[in-house]
Amino acid sequence: MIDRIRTGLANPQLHRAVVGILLFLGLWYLLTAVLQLPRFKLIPDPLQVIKEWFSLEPLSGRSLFTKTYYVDIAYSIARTLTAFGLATFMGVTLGLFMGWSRIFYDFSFPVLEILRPMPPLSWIPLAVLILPGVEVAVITVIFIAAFFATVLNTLLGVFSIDRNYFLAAKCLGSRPKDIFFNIVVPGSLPFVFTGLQIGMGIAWMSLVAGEIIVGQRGLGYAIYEGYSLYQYAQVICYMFTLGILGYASSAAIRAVGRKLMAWEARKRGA
Amino acid sequence: MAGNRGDSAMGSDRFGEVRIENVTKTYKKKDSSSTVLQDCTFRIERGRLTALMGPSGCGKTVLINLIAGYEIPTTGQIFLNDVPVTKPDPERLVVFQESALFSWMTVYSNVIFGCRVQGMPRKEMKDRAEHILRTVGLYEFRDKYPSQLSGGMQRRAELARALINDPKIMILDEPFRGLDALTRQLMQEFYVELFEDGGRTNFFVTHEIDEAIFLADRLVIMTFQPGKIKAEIEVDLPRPRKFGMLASHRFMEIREYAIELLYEEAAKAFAAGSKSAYDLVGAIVAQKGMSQKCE
Repeated sequence: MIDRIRTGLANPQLHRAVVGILLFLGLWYLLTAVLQLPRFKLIPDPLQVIKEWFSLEPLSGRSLFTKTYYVDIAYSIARTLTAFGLATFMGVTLGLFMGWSRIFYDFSFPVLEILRPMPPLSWIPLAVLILPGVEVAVITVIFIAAFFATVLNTLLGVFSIDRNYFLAAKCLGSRPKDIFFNIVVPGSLPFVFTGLQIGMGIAWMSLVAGEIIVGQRGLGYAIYEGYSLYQYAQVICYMFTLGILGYASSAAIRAVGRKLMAWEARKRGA
Repeated sequence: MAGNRGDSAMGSDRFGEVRIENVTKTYKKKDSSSTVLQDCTFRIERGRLTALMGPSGCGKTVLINLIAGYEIPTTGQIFLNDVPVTKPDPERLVVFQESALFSWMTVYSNVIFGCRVQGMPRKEMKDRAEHILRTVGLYEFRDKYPSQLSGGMQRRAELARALINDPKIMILDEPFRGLDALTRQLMQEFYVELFEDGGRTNFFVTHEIDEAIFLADRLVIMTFQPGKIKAEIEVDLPRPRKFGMLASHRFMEIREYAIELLYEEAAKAFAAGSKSAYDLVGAIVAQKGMSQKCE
């Protein structure tokens, strides 16, 4: 165990990551605290942000040691995960069927291609009008954002499958359902996971926008509130919180993907 | 169908005989149509290894698709043991040009795939798979993924995936293409031994004249566009085949004759501007030179 930590710490990649982060914080400190450039006057330096973040009695009422902070996080995570889960389920299913059935593709692709480029936020008015309550509207906006990335990548995933796989499966006696579950699903996985990563990224972006516009509670809402109340340290704390959450969710997707696609990792020699 | 593995069942129906009768395949485009195969008639005889040769673009792959049942002839018919071929079936198994092993399945899962989707009982499937994996020398590698295997091992895994279904005929579409020279030679040796042990009907499509003669009982040579049967040659070299035979007088005779026939077609393909024909002409000219030196 100790050996493992020791080799981990000796890893040059880790050293570079730490240096990169320190350089970033240094530049930030330089711009705000040392040089105090005109446009940066109101921006808190890293130390102020950290102080606020770890404060027992924060000015904004939100820090690592307050309940509000975690309620905000919980709201945002719940919204994102609900929307992302729905988008994954429906997007992957739709993408697989579009890739699998030419007829279904002909019907659905034009509609998909018109809806897909619409910015998720442009759906907000309709979402609020049609759906009951603000909560559902926010989730729908996030869902739409993640959904299209997932569908498109899943579809491309099915198209990327080598034609010989289908021929081989057929002559080995497969029925359509065998081909679907043994060839179409696993064969498109690498692309599906690319789609999920992109989808997750867009989901977090849309979350904040949705919360700012129609939300109550949540990280995006708190960022907007911090801005209105001149609590810039709070704004930056929450931005980093979002960054960390986004990073963690991407890492989680990658980990699941690696697990499901052991054959791919081996190809890369990992 | 499959499952009939008793040795007493040798002969008769266990292996297949394919008759290709007046088969023509035409593809219609918007305002024109192109005939890829024209009036092809020949037999793939029971328990023998028939090799098909012809310049690129002569419709070899289309012929395979027809025998496998992926496509239907425009006119004419194909029979396996007097039953018309209409759709793909595990009794006619294709081993593909490039590896078609499912990269997300281990060697074992790949090998049992056919049995699994056909609903074979677990126990029997396992026994068969173990037997066949030992036969092709991949038992130790059964839990590896295809990408972890060498090219030769991948080819053997693919042969195993086909053989486990006990097909009436194996159709091989340039299966050793892309292997390095040494691996290719080892695979030819391995494959010919497998064939000689099993006595199964095999249909082997290849570009390589030496490979074709070394492996086959009969050579079928096709013409260039539209593909017709140009000639059939009996390869009366004794079995078991050994690589030493490549230097034998009889081998050279057959080779000379086959090259003569192929050269005409390759030259036609070359004149027609088929790019891949260029390679074949080059190869044949080199071989001609070589065999003349040998005389």
